[in-house]
Amino acid sequence: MLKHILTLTWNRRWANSLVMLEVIIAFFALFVLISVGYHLWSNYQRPLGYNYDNVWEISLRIDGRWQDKDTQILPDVINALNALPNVVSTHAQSAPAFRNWSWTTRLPAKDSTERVYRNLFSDGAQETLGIKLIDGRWPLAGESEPQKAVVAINRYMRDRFFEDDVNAVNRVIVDGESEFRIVGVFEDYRQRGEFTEQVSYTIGSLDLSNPGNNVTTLFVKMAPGTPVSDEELVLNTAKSIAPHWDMGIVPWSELREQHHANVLTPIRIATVLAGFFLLMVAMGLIGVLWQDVLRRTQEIGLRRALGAPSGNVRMQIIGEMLAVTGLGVIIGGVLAAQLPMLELIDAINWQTTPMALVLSALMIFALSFFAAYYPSYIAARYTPSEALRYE
Amino acid sequence: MSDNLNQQPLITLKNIRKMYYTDQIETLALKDINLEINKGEFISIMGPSGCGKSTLLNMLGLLDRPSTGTIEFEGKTLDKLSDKALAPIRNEKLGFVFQTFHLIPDLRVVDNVALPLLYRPMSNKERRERALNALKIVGLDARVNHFPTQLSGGQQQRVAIARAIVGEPPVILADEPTGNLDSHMGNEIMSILFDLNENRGTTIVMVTHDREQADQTQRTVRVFDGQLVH
Repeated sequence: MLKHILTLTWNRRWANSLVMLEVIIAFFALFVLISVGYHLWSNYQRPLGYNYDNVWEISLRIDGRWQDKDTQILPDVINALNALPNVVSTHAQSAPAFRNWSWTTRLPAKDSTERVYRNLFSDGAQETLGIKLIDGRWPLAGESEPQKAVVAINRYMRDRFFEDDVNAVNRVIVDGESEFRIVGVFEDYRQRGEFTEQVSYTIGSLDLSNPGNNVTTLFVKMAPGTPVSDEELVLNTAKSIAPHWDMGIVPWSELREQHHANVLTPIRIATVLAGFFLLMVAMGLIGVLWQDVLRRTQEIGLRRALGAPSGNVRMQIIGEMLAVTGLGVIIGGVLAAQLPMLELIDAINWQTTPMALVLSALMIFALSFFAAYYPSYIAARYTPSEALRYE
Repeated sequence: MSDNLNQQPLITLKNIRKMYYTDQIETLALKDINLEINKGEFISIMGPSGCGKSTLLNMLGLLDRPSTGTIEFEGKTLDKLSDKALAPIRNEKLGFVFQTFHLIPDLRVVDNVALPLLYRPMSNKERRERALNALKIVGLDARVNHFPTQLSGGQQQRVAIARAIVGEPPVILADEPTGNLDSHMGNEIMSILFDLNENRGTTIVMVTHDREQADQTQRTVRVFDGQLVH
């Protein structure tokens, strides 16, 4: 029977080409959606590397250039905030988190140069953020010099830049005239949130005695259970010392949710659109099969007359649909397998592709099965004589 | 064939009635049909268009169920059998030849002929060998890889006969097998049917409008307004 179904499918390949095209497009759309979804999900599973609970972000927007007086009052602001009753710790940072803000450089890794994300934290960051140090120590204030940065790197960067058995601490990465001396390794700091992929990351010390234009954000760790109304107190305290700074305050958890919404909204829209698209594909397949069954009613009657039980006729129609789907999936799969080689989208890579191919194929086969089931049920209901007379 | 006439009938129809219902209209297609068909007979069924000949053939071929009455095949009553139980009887005991051939256009000649064997447990190789043999019997062994549309009407009907005999059924039911053919091709088909009856002992029941063809068969059954007339 299988050979018979394959023979029929092959002989009807031109008649089936539109159905096959529909299957290929649906398969492709599913493949991309599953790849992106799986990529985001697997990123989400990895630890963020820091604790955002009870942390409030104060963003600084300073008119014009950073002045000496700003440098002078920055430690005063931090000290004043630390003196507040519910404040656990405060630190300044050059690049905020949960925003599309990055400072990057390319450095020579094991096999090629690699993009490395950078950030500077002032003292107190470890207490505010709870980043886990796994080797060495954190850089100290004033330790870095121009062209000679002292940094801690994340575990991912260590793995990308050094062989397994090499201790990264005290190693120096040289890039032209610039040097990066590694003094510690931390677990991770996923600046742009849980949905982004892992990147190489360095954290240097932000010297509050010479912050330059690097300070963009203050982070304040509050005691658990601090009421939201304290935001005003925190902000007013900072403003009382730096009235000319334009500041805004927002809980980090809120910022994280906003960031998630920004990442997930297009995915949700794409999922809904893909859902509608698949529904249309399913309806299209049912329509095409319905027409096909009507057109082949006499053939179905003939098969029944020649001894095919109704269940056999049903299985044949479903089998033919699955064979057409199989051809579409093979063609779609070959095309989809080219995508990771093209490296067009981060989400479509060699890690996600095999799973996305299998899942897309299973979903398309399930869709085809359900699309074929009802027409096959109708076809099997005819008596042989009814079907043979059908015009 | 006269010695066969004393044996138990191959097919027996007892008090067969067939009603069709469309909306609120009832149509009585067959009324109180009693008919016995013996092994090895060549019977023709004649009658005007719409008199119920094809309906009668459908009853004999187990393609439709009677509204009332009983069908017996080789002494067994079939009324209570499910569709699943009837399917192997159709497959093994009956061969069909239709006026419009009913070949599947997307299958090659050999695959069309092998179609009934698809529903029997058998290897693909054996199916093909038996299909080739059947095509040889009808003189079409040079056309096995053609598609039906590449054949003449007479050749297509010969393919249909090959399909009917490939499973070596004891009965062939032919519904106006020469109705779509010219007289020359019609005669060719008739000679094949006579050959099957005489040399292989196949029982043949043929619906026809052609009195000359009917006269060549052993017995003619006449149908008028759904009833047998004698």
